[in-house]
Amino acid sequence: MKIYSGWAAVAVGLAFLPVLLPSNYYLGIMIFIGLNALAAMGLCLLMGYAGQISLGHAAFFGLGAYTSGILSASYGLSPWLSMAIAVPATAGLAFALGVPILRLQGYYLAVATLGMGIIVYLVFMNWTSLTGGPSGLSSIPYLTLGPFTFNRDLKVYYLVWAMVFLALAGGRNIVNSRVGRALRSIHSSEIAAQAMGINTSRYKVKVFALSAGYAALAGGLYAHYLTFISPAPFGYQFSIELLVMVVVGGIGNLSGAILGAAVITLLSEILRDLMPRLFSYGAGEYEIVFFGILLIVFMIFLPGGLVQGLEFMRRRRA
Amino acid sequence: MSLLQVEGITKHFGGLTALSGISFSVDEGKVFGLIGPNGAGKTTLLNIISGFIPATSGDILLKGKSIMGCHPHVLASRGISRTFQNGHLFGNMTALENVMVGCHIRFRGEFLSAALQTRWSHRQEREIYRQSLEILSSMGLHSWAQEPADSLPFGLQRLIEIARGVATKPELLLLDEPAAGLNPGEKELLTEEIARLRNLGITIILVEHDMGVVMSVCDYLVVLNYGQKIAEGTPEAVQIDPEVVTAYLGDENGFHA
Repeated sequence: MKIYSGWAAVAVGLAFLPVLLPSNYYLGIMIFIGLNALAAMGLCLLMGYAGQISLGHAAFFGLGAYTSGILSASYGLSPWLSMAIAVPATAGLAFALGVPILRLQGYYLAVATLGMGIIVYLVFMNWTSLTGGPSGLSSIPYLTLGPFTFNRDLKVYYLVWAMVFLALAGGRNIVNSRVGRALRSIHSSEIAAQAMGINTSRYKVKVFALSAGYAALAGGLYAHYLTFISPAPFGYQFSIELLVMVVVGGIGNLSGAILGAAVITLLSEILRDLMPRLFSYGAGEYEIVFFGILLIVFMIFLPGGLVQGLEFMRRRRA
Repeated sequence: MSLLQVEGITKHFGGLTALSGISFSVDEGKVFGLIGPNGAGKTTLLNIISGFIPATSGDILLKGKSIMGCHPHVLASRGISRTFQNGHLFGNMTALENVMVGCHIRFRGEFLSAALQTRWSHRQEREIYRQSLEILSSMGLHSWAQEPADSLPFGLQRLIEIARGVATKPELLLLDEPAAGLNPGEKELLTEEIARLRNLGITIILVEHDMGVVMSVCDYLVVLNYGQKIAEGTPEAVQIDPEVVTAYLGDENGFHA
């Protein structure tokens, strides 16, 4: 109950936040935090609970965005219908890819997912007739709800954060259930999980698909918010950023993923402003170096992420 | 009637013959001891019975039906559960949650029903919780229910691993050296627990080095040495079997093993 009242307070705070924000720019950042939080929560289910790594999750974000974008912009389907197709289709693809990929463990799995992400990125770049190639896909329609169109940042802000809370609630319910325990048991000891009758390869593939679904949902919302997509944001760099969000927030904690998404998205925004002033050349590359360092620092000093840090501080004060 | 029949199991690891032509049958409701010096092939045999490694040849029948080639998770649902020699508790969970994982196969409910928290999944969850707590209580472990599994003393971890196995409601429970590293008091508790589980009707295969535990709780023994079965019978008969004595203590020309 205490947890729920805490989240209710956060939800009310977020509901009134737009009043306090000085400009649309900040509202836009809040939307991106929400979108990244969705994808990071998905990755958290996979990494933090089932203990399987993915270094290619940007691909599923991108697949959600492109599938929904193409279906609505090129084939004239309604945006909601496009998303309703894009999310399960991406999850289904992840399921199919997951069957061979998730047989791998540790570094091998990391490299395989990294490769998968790069391949998908190359498809976005080079299948020009479908994706528009490097110049991108434009005139993607806004989401609508009857006469109501999600064409302003303020409207999208509420939509995205409503989705974040729904996804959080669903995710929390899953991790606190029979399925969640099965996933955590796989993380801890796969052979013991099997001895308890858990079909470990099945669960790994299913949670991979679910986590791809979270990313695809974020991708679909992204496409219909910006109305323009290009391959650049869906490269391996974004996969790494998602990973950093999960680790910084707290790897075994879904709400940590939201916190991590907030911190990394804000930092990323600050760095984008700061780096070109510090380095005249290759500022974008320095950004990923910074995140790399951040990842190492957290792994060493705060492996439980910010959530663990907050918990620690709260207990010391009490 | 025999619950499990092991028929001519042979296992090669490359050029090494870990087991050669092992046959025996395990009677229902008995504690069946599998003993032998280090490297005799006991754990290998346990891994084959529980489906973790394939045998090179031979067959294993559970209630008359072959279980060769079945995945461990399938065998768990057919009534074979086990513990591990080096302790495979889920350290990231509480003692109770460990036992709740043991209940996994006896319940339903997947991602969707969990995400939506249907009334049905709620009831399932309550039932899993109730049964797991009951199992812990029956073993006198309920006071540690909410403790993280890896924070508990070794002896308790062993018992919780057994409780987790019991939660699958097995017909056959395989225990791989459960007494290793336990102090005398803990060994006594373990022995009592094994006897209690037998009285509940669970058939047990016990791989164990501790002869005190073996002799006090086993109804029947099979002795392995270098992958061969060298003796079987009641503990009293096996104890005085000359070949067994030689395998353990060496013959008159000096140490053998």
